[in-house]
Amino acid sequence: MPRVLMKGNEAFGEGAIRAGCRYFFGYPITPQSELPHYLARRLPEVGGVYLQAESEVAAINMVYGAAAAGARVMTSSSSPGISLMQEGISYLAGAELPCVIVNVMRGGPGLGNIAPAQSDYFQAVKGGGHGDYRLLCLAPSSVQEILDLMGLAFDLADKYRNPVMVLGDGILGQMMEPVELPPYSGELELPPKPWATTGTAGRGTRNIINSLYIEPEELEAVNLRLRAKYQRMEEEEKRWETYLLEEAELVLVAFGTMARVARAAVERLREEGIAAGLIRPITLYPFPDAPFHAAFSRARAFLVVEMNLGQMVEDVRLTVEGRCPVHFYGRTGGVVPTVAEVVNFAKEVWQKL
Amino acid sequence: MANVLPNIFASWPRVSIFCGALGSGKTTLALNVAWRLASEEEKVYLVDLDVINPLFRSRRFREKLAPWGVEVIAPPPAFDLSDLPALPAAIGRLLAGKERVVVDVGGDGVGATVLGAYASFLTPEAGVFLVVNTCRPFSSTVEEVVRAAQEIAQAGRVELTGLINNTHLGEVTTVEVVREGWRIVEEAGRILGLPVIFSALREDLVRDDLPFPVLPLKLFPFLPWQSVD
Repeated sequence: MPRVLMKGNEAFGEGAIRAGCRYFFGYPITPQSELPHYLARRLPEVGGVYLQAESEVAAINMVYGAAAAGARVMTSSSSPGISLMQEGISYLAGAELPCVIVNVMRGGPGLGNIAPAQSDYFQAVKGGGHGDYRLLCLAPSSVQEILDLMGLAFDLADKYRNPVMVLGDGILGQMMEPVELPPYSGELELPPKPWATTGTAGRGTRNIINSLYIEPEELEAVNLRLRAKYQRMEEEEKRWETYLLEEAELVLVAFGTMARVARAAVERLREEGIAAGLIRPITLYPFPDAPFHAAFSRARAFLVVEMNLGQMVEDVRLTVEGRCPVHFYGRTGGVVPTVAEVVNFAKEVWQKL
Repeated sequence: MANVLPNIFASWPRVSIFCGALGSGKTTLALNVAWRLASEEEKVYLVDLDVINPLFRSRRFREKLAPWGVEVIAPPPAFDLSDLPALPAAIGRLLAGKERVVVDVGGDGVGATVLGAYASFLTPEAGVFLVVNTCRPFSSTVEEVVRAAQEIAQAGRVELTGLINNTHLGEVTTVEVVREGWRIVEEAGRILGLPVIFSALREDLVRDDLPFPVLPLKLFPFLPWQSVD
């Protein structure tokens, strides 16, 4: 039974602590500042280190250092701050360093505004930094799921030696929901990291963390090895949730906060006799294709709903491969589509089928 | 005993200030008290001093409150999402004047620091209430509540008048949760030498046999999936 009422931003922090994270480096920015505010108090309580860096660039490179030394480490920011971190994120991916990066998205591009948005999907899922790399990307849609996915995020980061991006937005970060906290058992027994830069004791040789490979053939081999790792993620780590998908002829697709609105819209559409259902990707990379394949036999159309002008919809189209029409509805700049808007657009799509 | 109304608002201080930890329910309390006072009597000014929470604060409900006779005092609506610690000049005049004023303060010591800037405008009649939800992080024990009270009073440069038990778990709140919160808040009040004024409780949970005074709360949903319009 839930005992605590938590803000999403606090849940990112508490979830990290319960996953054994003891290092946070970051810089405040609305709408995620409750997260560093929370960890500034909580981390010292558990013997951890909270450090407010002089900038996001410094913070992400501190993450690089702590990750290289084998620590469970995280940073968080909101859209413009995450943009500043992109060089460091590419280096983390290139050096195969595990860490967790939280992006509580706000309106963009540029300075944009502090209202909730989902317009950093491309940045999180398709690159953002330079080079052939991928981030595992998780998209919780409730405060409880933030807590749970933070644990998964750290485990996946270690498992694949890869940065993990967790996407939220201003609503998810600021809203409060009752939660059940994951167990807290003090220091966790985590798998050893024999590659970490922990000195030569017991090993005789020093470990080196690096992403510089001067010979093209050597760098190509590194990239091929990374690709094999990404393929393994695609085989093993796809996660999703469906709602009323069985028998659904009109399939809504949404992630994070937008999935809460879409779910309410599906309920309204069902009340009006329209066979609607929902696919909610939980991993945005790797993108979950299985629920789409399961829906093909009945689905007459997909409707992707996002708080942007159409980003995840591209992955839906790649997955659907023209077998079914894919429609899109989105608001941007910090405007959140209402349940009524989504319902009305869905009805228009339905009537034209 | 269950319903604190109408008696408590007959002698309610001209200026009532709601402070407390982040997410303790100050805005909901301020909105409810402003609405109750406005429905009983004259015009009420609701001063929004929250410069740290951009999403859920009194100014968001400006248009909903206006027809009830509650005027929200905050920078112009165009600046609602400005993320700037801007405050209108009218606040000092209202606090020191004769009008009915309700003040919604930002969370924790950092939020209360803004209140500290107005210490010289406050008259001794002002009521300063600490809103407590013991289901929130850093407010779950007597020690934590006492610490929060001292930190906020110091940052806000005020003396607290009393505590308000706003313990709840959102949709899964039970009366037992509220009772347990009352026990913790009452004990903290004993240590601080302060009374617990009432328990705030969602309207549908109010019963006649509760062993403490209750203010039935009107909720102000603001999440996009909570409204069908």
